Amino acid sequence: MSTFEAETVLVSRAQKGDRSAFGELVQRYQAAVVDVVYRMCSDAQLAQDAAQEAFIQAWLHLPSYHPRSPLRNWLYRIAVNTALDALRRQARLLPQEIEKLDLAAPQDNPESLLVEKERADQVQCAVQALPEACRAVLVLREYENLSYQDIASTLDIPVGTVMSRLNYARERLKLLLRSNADQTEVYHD
Amino acid sequence: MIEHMNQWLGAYLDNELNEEMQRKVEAHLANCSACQAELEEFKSLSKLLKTAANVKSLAPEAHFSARVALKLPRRQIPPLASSAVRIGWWMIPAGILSAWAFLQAVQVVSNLALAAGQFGLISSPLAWLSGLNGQNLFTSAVLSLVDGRFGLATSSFLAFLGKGTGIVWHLFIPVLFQAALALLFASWLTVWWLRNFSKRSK
Repeated sequence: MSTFEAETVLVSRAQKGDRSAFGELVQRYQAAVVDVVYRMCSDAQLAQDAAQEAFIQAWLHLPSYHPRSPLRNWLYRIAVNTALDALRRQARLLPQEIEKLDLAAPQDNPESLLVEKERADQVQCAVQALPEACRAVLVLREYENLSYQDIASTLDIPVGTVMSRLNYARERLKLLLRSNADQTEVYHD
Repeated sequence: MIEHMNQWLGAYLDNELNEEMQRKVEAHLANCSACQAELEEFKSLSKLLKTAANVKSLAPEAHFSARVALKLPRRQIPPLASSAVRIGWWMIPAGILSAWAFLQAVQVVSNLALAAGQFGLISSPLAWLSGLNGQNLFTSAVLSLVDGRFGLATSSFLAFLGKGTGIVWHLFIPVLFQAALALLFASWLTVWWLRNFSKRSK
Protein backbone atom coordinates (compact mmCIF):
# COMPACT_ATOMS: atom_id res chain seq x y z
CA MET A 1 0.00 0.00 0.00
CA SER A 2 1.43 3.41 -1.01
CA THR A 3 1.82 6.29 1.44
CA PHE A 4 -1.05 8.13 -0.25
CA GLU A 5 -3.35 5.10 -0.01
CA ALA A 6 -2.39 4.58 3.62
CA GLU A 7 -3.19 8.20 4.31
CA THR A 8 -6.52 7.94 2.51
CA VAL A 9 -7.43 4.97 4.69
CA LEU A 10 -6.43 6.89 7.82
CA VAL A 11 -8.48 9.92 6.73
CA SER A 12 -11.48 7.74 5.97
CA ARG A 13 -11.26 6.07 9.39
CA ALA A 14 -10.81 9.43 11.13
CA GLN A 15 -13.81 10.82 9.26
CA LYS A 16 -15.89 8.04 10.72
CA GLY A 17 -14.72 9.01 14.21
CA ASP A 18 -11.66 6.81 14.71
CA ARG A 19 -9.52 8.83 17.13
CA SER A 20 -6.46 6.60 16.87
CA ALA A 21 -6.40 7.08 13.08
CA PHE A 22 -6.58 10.81 13.62
CA GLY A 23 -3.77 10.50 16.17
CA GLU A 24 -1.57 8.95 13.49
CA LEU A 25 -2.36 11.84 11.16
CA VAL A 26 -1.45 14.29 13.94
CA GLN A 27 1.90 12.53 14.41
CA ARG A 28 2.51 12.67 10.69
CA TYR A 29 1.81 16.39 10.28
CA GLN A 30 2.47 17.95 13.66
CA ALA A 31 5.95 19.22 12.77
CA ALA A 32 4.72 20.90 9.59
CA VAL A 33 1.70 22.47 11.29
CA VAL A 34 3.71 23.74 14.28
CA ASP A 35 6.27 25.15 11.85
CA VAL A 36 3.69 27.06 9.78
CA VAL A 37 1.97 28.41 12.88
CA TYR A 38 5.27 29.47 14.42
CA ARG A 39 6.39 31.22 11.22
CA MET A 40 3.08 33.06 11.17
CA CYS A 41 3.17 34.27 14.78
CA SER A 42 6.81 34.03 15.97
CA ASP A 43 5.80 33.04 19.48
CA ALA A 44 6.74 29.57 20.69
CA GLN A 45 3.99 29.17 23.27
CA LEU A 46 1.36 30.70 21.04
CA ALA A 47 2.49 28.41 18.21
CA GLN A 48 2.08 25.34 20.45
CA ASP A 49 -1.40 26.31 21.54
CA ALA A 50 -2.50 27.42 18.09
CA ALA A 51 -1.14 24.24 16.47
CA GLN A 52 -3.17 22.15 18.93
CA GLU A 53 -6.20 24.28 18.16
CA ALA A 54 -5.56 23.76 14.43
CA PHE A 55 -5.68 19.98 14.87
CA ILE A 56 -8.86 20.23 16.95
CA GLN A 57 -10.44 22.31 14.18
CA ALA A 58 -9.23 19.75 11.65
CA TRP A 59 -10.87 16.96 13.68
CA LEU A 60 -14.16 18.84 13.85
CA HIS A 61 -14.20 19.65 10.13
CA LEU A 62 -12.73 16.39 8.87
CA PRO A 63 -16.13 14.98 7.74
CA SER A 64 -16.39 17.83 5.22
CA TYR A 65 -12.85 17.27 3.87
CA HIS A 66 -12.74 15.84 0.33
CA PRO A 67 -9.51 14.10 -0.66
CA ARG A 68 -9.45 16.06 -3.93
CA SER A 69 -6.75 18.30 -2.42
CA PRO A 70 -3.81 16.92 -0.40
CA LEU A 71 -4.46 16.67 3.33
CA ARG A 72 -1.25 18.56 4.01
CA ASN A 73 -2.52 21.65 2.11
CA TRP A 74 -5.87 21.44 3.87
CA LEU A 75 -4.09 21.36 7.24
CA TYR A 76 -1.89 24.29 6.22
CA ARG A 77 -4.97 26.30 5.46
CA ILE A 78 -6.40 25.58 8.91
CA ALA A 79 -2.99 26.28 10.49
CA VAL A 80 -2.69 29.69 8.82
CA ASN A 81 -6.23 30.69 9.84
CA THR A 82 -5.75 29.44 13.40
CA ALA A 83 -2.46 31.32 13.74
CA LEU A 84 -4.07 34.53 12.54
CA ASP A 85 -7.02 34.04 14.92
CA ALA A 86 -4.64 33.43 17.81
CA LEU A 87 -2.71 36.58 16.96
CA ARG A 88 -5.91 38.61 16.82
CA ARG A 89 -7.10 37.23 20.15
CA GLN A 90 -3.85 37.98 21.85
CA ALA A 91 -2.59 41.55 21.95
CA ARG A 92 -0.59 41.89 18.78
CA LEU A 93 3.13 41.47 19.38
CA LEU A 94 5.29 44.32 18.21
CA PRO A 95 8.30 43.29 16.17
CA GLN A 96 10.76 44.32 18.91
CA GLU A 97 8.86 42.19 21.43
CA ILE A 98 9.14 38.96 19.48
CA GLU A 99 10.31 36.12 21.63
CA LYS A 100 13.88 35.05 21.20
CA LEU A 101 13.97 31.34 20.53
CA ASP A 102 16.64 28.74 20.78
CA LEU A 103 18.03 28.63 17.31
CA ALA A 104 20.14 26.07 15.59
CA ALA A 105 23.69 27.29 15.81
CA PRO A 106 25.90 26.53 12.81
CA GLN A 107 29.04 26.93 14.97
CA ASP A 108 29.63 26.57 18.67
CA ASN A 109 31.71 29.73 18.86
CA PRO A 110 29.83 32.01 21.35
CA GLU A 111 30.46 35.09 19.27
CA SER A 112 29.11 33.58 16.06
CA LEU A 113 26.19 32.15 18.02
CA LEU A 114 25.30 35.62 19.18
CA VAL A 115 25.52 37.00 15.65
CA GLU A 116 23.33 34.15 14.36
CA LYS A 117 20.72 34.80 17.03
CA GLU A 118 20.68 38.50 16.33
CA ARG A 119 20.30 37.85 12.63
CA ALA A 120 17.49 35.37 13.18
CA ASP A 121 15.66 37.83 15.41
CA GLN A 122 15.85 40.50 12.77
CA VAL A 123 14.60 38.16 10.07
CA GLN A 124 11.69 37.14 12.33
CA CYS A 125 10.90 40.78 13.04
CA ALA A 126 10.89 41.59 9.34
CA VAL A 127 8.62 38.62 8.53
CA GLN A 128 6.24 39.66 11.31
CA ALA A 129 6.10 43.18 9.95
CA LEU A 130 4.59 41.90 6.69
CA PRO A 131 0.82 42.11 6.15
CA GLU A 132 -0.88 38.84 7.18
CA ALA A 133 -1.94 37.85 3.66
CA CYS A 134 1.57 38.32 2.26
CA ARG A 135 3.16 36.61 5.28
CA ALA A 136 1.02 33.50 4.77
CA VAL A 137 2.09 33.23 1.11
CA LEU A 138 5.75 33.79 1.99
CA VAL A 139 5.72 31.20 4.79
CA LEU A 140 4.12 28.55 2.59
CA ARG A 141 6.60 29.22 -0.21
CA GLU A 142 9.87 29.81 1.61
CA TYR A 143 9.49 27.46 4.57
CA GLU A 144 7.11 24.77 3.34
CA ASN A 145 8.24 24.80 -0.33
CA LEU A 146 4.70 24.71 -1.72
CA SER A 147 4.23 25.40 -5.43
CA TYR A 148 2.27 28.51 -6.46
CA GLN A 149 -0.63 26.26 -7.46
CA ASP A 150 -0.64 24.55 -4.05
CA ILE A 151 -0.48 27.89 -2.24
CA ALA A 152 -3.38 29.13 -4.38
CA SER A 153 -5.54 26.13 -3.52
CA THR A 154 -4.49 26.18 0.14
CA LEU A 155 -5.39 29.84 0.63
CA ASP A 156 -8.21 29.83 -1.94
CA ILE A 157 -6.74 32.66 -4.00
CA PRO A 158 -5.76 32.91 -7.70
CA VAL A 159 -2.20 31.99 -8.74
CA GLY A 160 -1.69 35.56 -9.97
CA THR A 161 -2.44 36.83 -6.47
CA VAL A 162 0.08 34.37 -5.02
CA MET A 163 2.72 35.78 -7.34
CA SER A 164 1.92 39.42 -6.60
CA ARG A 165 1.79 38.87 -2.81
CA LEU A 166 5.07 36.99 -2.92
CA ASN A 167 6.69 39.79 -4.93
CA TYR A 168 5.39 42.36 -2.48
CA ALA A 169 6.57 40.33 0.52
CA ARG A 170 10.06 39.89 -0.92
CA GLU A 171 10.43 43.55 -1.88
CA ARG A 172 9.21 44.62 1.55
CA LEU A 173 11.55 42.20 3.31
CA LYS A 174 14.47 43.52 1.30
CA LEU A 175 13.68 47.05 2.42
CA LEU A 176 13.15 46.07 6.06
CA LEU A 177 16.32 44.05 6.28
CA ARG A 178 18.34 46.62 4.36
CA SER A 179 17.36 49.28 6.87
CA ASN A 180 18.98 47.16 9.58
CA ALA A 181 21.97 46.19 7.51
CA ASP A 182 23.88 49.39 8.29
CA GLN A 183 24.01 48.49 11.96
CA THR A 184 24.40 44.71 11.91
CA GLU A 185 25.34 43.59 8.41
CA VAL A 186 22.37 41.21 8.42
CA TYR A 187 21.44 41.20 4.79
CA HIS A 188 24.75 40.84 2.99
CA ASP A 189 27.35 38.88 4.77
CA MET B 1 14.65 52.36 -22.76
CA ILE B 2 14.98 48.83 -21.33
CA GLU B 3 11.88 47.36 -19.77
CA HIS B 4 12.93 45.49 -16.64
CA MET B 5 11.35 42.20 -15.59
CA ASN B 6 11.32 42.62 -11.83
CA GLN B 7 7.79 41.25 -11.45
CA TRP B 8 8.83 37.93 -13.03
CA LEU B 9 12.10 37.43 -11.17
CA GLY B 10 10.54 35.85 -8.08
CA ALA B 11 8.59 33.35 -10.15
CA TYR B 12 11.73 32.68 -12.23
CA LEU B 13 13.70 31.96 -9.07
CA ASP B 14 10.93 29.64 -7.86
CA ASN B 15 10.89 27.86 -11.23
CA GLU B 16 7.22 28.69 -11.69
CA LEU B 17 7.30 30.30 -15.14
CA ASN B 18 6.24 28.56 -18.33
CA GLU B 19 8.94 27.76 -20.86
CA GLU B 20 8.29 30.77 -23.07
CA MET B 21 8.37 33.24 -20.18
CA GLN B 22 11.41 31.55 -18.71
CA ARG B 23 13.27 32.00 -22.00
CA LYS B 24 12.27 35.68 -22.12
CA VAL B 25 13.51 36.30 -18.59
CA GLU B 26 16.77 34.45 -19.29
CA ALA B 27 17.32 36.47 -22.45
CA HIS B 28 16.66 39.67 -20.54
CA LEU B 29 18.93 38.68 -17.65
CA ALA B 30 21.79 38.07 -20.07
CA ASN B 31 21.81 41.78 -20.94
CA CYS B 32 20.50 43.51 -17.82
CA SER B 33 22.82 43.97 -14.88
CA ALA B 34 20.08 45.64 -12.78
CA CYS B 35 17.82 42.58 -13.02
CA GLN B 36 20.80 40.28 -12.41
CA ALA B 37 21.50 42.19 -9.19
CA GLU B 38 17.83 42.01 -8.23
CA LEU B 39 17.79 38.25 -8.80
CA GLU B 40 20.92 37.83 -6.67
CA GLU B 41 19.18 39.81 -3.92
CA PHE B 42 16.17 37.51 -4.09
CA LYS B 43 18.47 34.49 -3.86
CA SER B 44 20.26 35.96 -0.82
CA LEU B 45 16.94 36.75 0.81
CA SER B 46 15.61 33.24 0.26
CA LYS B 47 18.82 31.75 1.70
CA LEU B 48 18.69 34.11 4.66
CA LEU B 49 15.06 33.24 5.42
CA LYS B 50 15.87 29.53 5.44
CA THR B 51 19.15 29.58 7.32
CA ALA B 52 18.65 32.38 9.82
CA ALA B 53 15.39 31.24 11.30
CA ASN B 54 15.77 27.54 12.00
CA VAL B 55 13.52 26.70 14.91
CA LYS B 56 14.33 23.78 17.14
CA SER B 57 11.61 21.25 17.69
CA LEU B 58 9.10 23.00 19.93
CA ALA B 59 7.66 19.93 21.66
CA PRO B 60 8.31 16.20 21.83
CA GLU B 61 6.11 14.40 19.28
CA ALA B 62 4.39 12.06 21.69
CA HIS B 63 3.70 14.89 24.11
CA PHE B 64 2.10 17.07 21.47
CA SER B 65 -0.14 14.42 19.91
CA ALA B 66 -1.14 13.14 23.36
CA ARG B 67 -2.26 16.63 24.36
CA VAL B 68 -4.22 16.99 21.11
CA ALA B 69 -5.85 13.58 21.72
CA LEU B 70 -6.95 14.69 25.21
CA LYS B 71 -8.55 17.84 23.85
CA LEU B 72 -10.45 16.29 20.94
CA PRO B 73 -14.14 17.06 21.43
CA ARG B 74 -17.08 14.88 20.44
CA ARG B 75 -18.27 15.65 16.93
CA GLN B 76 -21.73 17.24 16.73
CA ILE B 77 -22.99 15.63 13.52
CA PRO B 78 -22.39 11.93 12.86
CA PRO B 79 -20.92 11.49 9.36
CA LEU B 80 -23.62 8.99 8.31
CA ALA B 81 -26.45 11.45 9.01
CA SER B 82 -24.67 14.30 7.25
CA SER B 83 -24.07 12.17 4.14
CA ALA B 84 -27.71 11.03 4.14
CA VAL B 85 -28.82 14.66 4.34
CA ARG B 86 -26.44 15.56 1.53
CA ILE B 87 -27.81 12.79 -0.70
CA GLY B 88 -31.38 13.79 0.12
CA TRP B 89 -30.60 17.39 -0.69
CA TRP B 90 -29.39 16.50 -4.21
CA MET B 91 -32.33 14.12 -4.73
CA ILE B 92 -34.73 17.11 -4.69
CA PRO B 93 -33.61 18.70 -7.99
CA ALA B 94 -33.09 15.25 -9.52
CA GLY B 95 -36.71 14.35 -8.64
CA ILE B 96 -38.09 17.61 -9.99
CA LEU B 97 -36.18 17.28 -13.26
CA SER B 98 -37.23 13.63 -13.62
CA ALA B 99 -40.89 14.55 -13.10
CA TRP B 100 -40.58 17.32 -15.66
CA ALA B 101 -38.92 14.97 -18.17
CA PHE B 102 -41.63 12.35 -17.59
CA LEU B 103 -44.45 14.83 -18.17
CA GLN B 104 -42.75 16.18 -21.29
CA ALA B 105 -42.33 12.65 -22.67
CA VAL B 106 -45.98 11.78 -21.97
CA GLN B 107 -47.12 14.95 -23.68
CA VAL B 108 -44.96 14.39 -26.76
CA VAL B 109 -46.11 10.76 -27.13
CA SER B 110 -49.69 11.81 -26.64
CA ASN B 111 -49.52 14.57 -29.23
CA LEU B 112 -47.79 12.28 -31.71
CA ALA B 113 -50.46 9.62 -31.23
CA LEU B 114 -53.22 12.17 -31.71
CA ALA B 115 -51.57 13.49 -34.86
CA ALA B 116 -51.15 9.95 -36.17
CA GLY B 117 -54.85 9.35 -35.49
CA GLN B 118 -55.82 12.43 -37.44
CA PHE B 119 -53.88 11.22 -40.43
CA GLY B 120 -55.51 7.84 -40.13
CA LEU B 121 -52.34 6.01 -39.30
CA ILE B 122 -53.81 4.50 -36.15
CA SER B 123 -57.45 4.21 -35.17
CA SER B 124 -58.10 2.13 -32.08
CA PRO B 125 -55.35 3.53 -29.77
CA LEU B 126 -56.79 7.00 -30.29
CA ALA B 127 -59.81 6.32 -28.10
CA TRP B 128 -57.54 5.15 -25.28
CA LEU B 129 -55.12 8.03 -25.74
CA SER B 130 -57.88 10.65 -25.90
CA GLY B 131 -59.21 9.41 -22.60
CA LEU B 132 -62.20 11.19 -21.07
CA ASN B 133 -63.83 14.02 -22.96
CA GLY B 134 -61.16 14.22 -25.62
CA GLN B 135 -58.25 14.81 -23.22
CA ASN B 136 -54.85 13.75 -24.43
CA LEU B 137 -52.61 11.19 -22.75
CA PHE B 138 -50.93 13.81 -20.57
CA THR B 139 -54.16 14.96 -18.95
CA SER B 140 -55.43 11.41 -18.71
CA ALA B 141 -52.21 10.33 -16.98
CA VAL B 142 -52.30 13.25 -14.58
CA LEU B 143 -56.00 12.85 -13.81
CA SER B 144 -55.67 9.13 -13.22
CA LEU B 145 -52.77 9.86 -10.83
CA VAL B 146 -54.83 12.45 -8.99
CA ASP B 147 -58.00 10.37 -9.08
CA GLY B 148 -56.13 7.40 -7.74
CA ARG B 149 -55.51 9.41 -4.59
CA PHE B 150 -58.54 11.65 -4.27
CA GLY B 151 -61.22 9.66 -6.07
CA LEU B 152 -63.35 11.33 -8.69
CA ALA B 153 -63.64 14.57 -6.77
CA THR B 154 -60.99 16.32 -8.87
CA SER B 155 -62.57 15.43 -12.20
CA SER B 156 -65.95 16.51 -10.92
CA PHE B 157 -64.45 19.75 -9.65
CA LEU B 158 -62.88 20.48 -13.04
CA ALA B 159 -66.15 19.69 -14.77
CA PHE B 160 -67.94 22.01 -12.36
CA LEU B 161 -65.47 24.83 -13.06
CA GLY B 162 -65.89 24.44 -16.79
CA LYS B 163 -69.69 24.44 -16.62
CA GLY B 164 -71.20 27.53 -18.15
CA THR B 165 -67.84 29.28 -18.58
CA GLY B 166 -66.85 27.59 -21.79
CA ILE B 167 -63.33 27.12 -20.40
CA VAL B 168 -61.79 23.72 -20.99
CA TRP B 169 -59.90 23.44 -17.72
CA HIS B 170 -58.07 20.24 -18.53
CA LEU B 171 -56.10 22.15 -21.16
CA PHE B 172 -54.50 24.15 -18.36
CA ILE B 173 -53.37 21.14 -16.40
CA PRO B 174 -50.07 20.60 -18.28
CA VAL B 175 -49.23 24.29 -17.90
CA LEU B 176 -50.22 24.17 -14.24
CA PHE B 177 -47.98 21.19 -13.52
CA GLN B 178 -45.03 22.66 -15.37
CA ALA B 179 -45.43 25.96 -13.51
CA ALA B 180 -45.54 24.08 -10.19
CA LEU B 181 -42.36 22.15 -11.07
CA ALA B 182 -40.62 25.33 -12.20
CA LEU B 183 -41.60 27.01 -8.93
CA LEU B 184 -40.27 24.08 -6.89
CA PHE B 185 -37.01 24.06 -8.83
CA ALA B 186 -36.59 27.83 -8.47
CA SER B 187 -37.19 27.54 -4.70
CA TRP B 188 -34.56 24.80 -4.40
CA LEU B 189 -32.13 26.86 -6.49
CA THR B 190 -32.68 29.90 -4.25
CA VAL B 191 -32.03 27.91 -1.08
CA TRP B 192 -28.92 26.34 -2.64
CA TRP B 193 -27.58 29.77 -3.66
CA LEU B 194 -28.29 31.26 -0.22
CA ARG B 195 -26.49 28.35 1.51
CA ASN B 196 -23.45 28.71 -0.75
CA PHE B 197 -23.40 32.48 -0.43
CA SER B 198 -23.51 32.33 3.37
CA LYS B 199 -20.68 29.74 3.40
CA ARG B 200 -18.46 31.96 1.23
CA SER B 201 -19.12 35.09 3.24
CA LYS B 202 -18.06 33.35 6.50
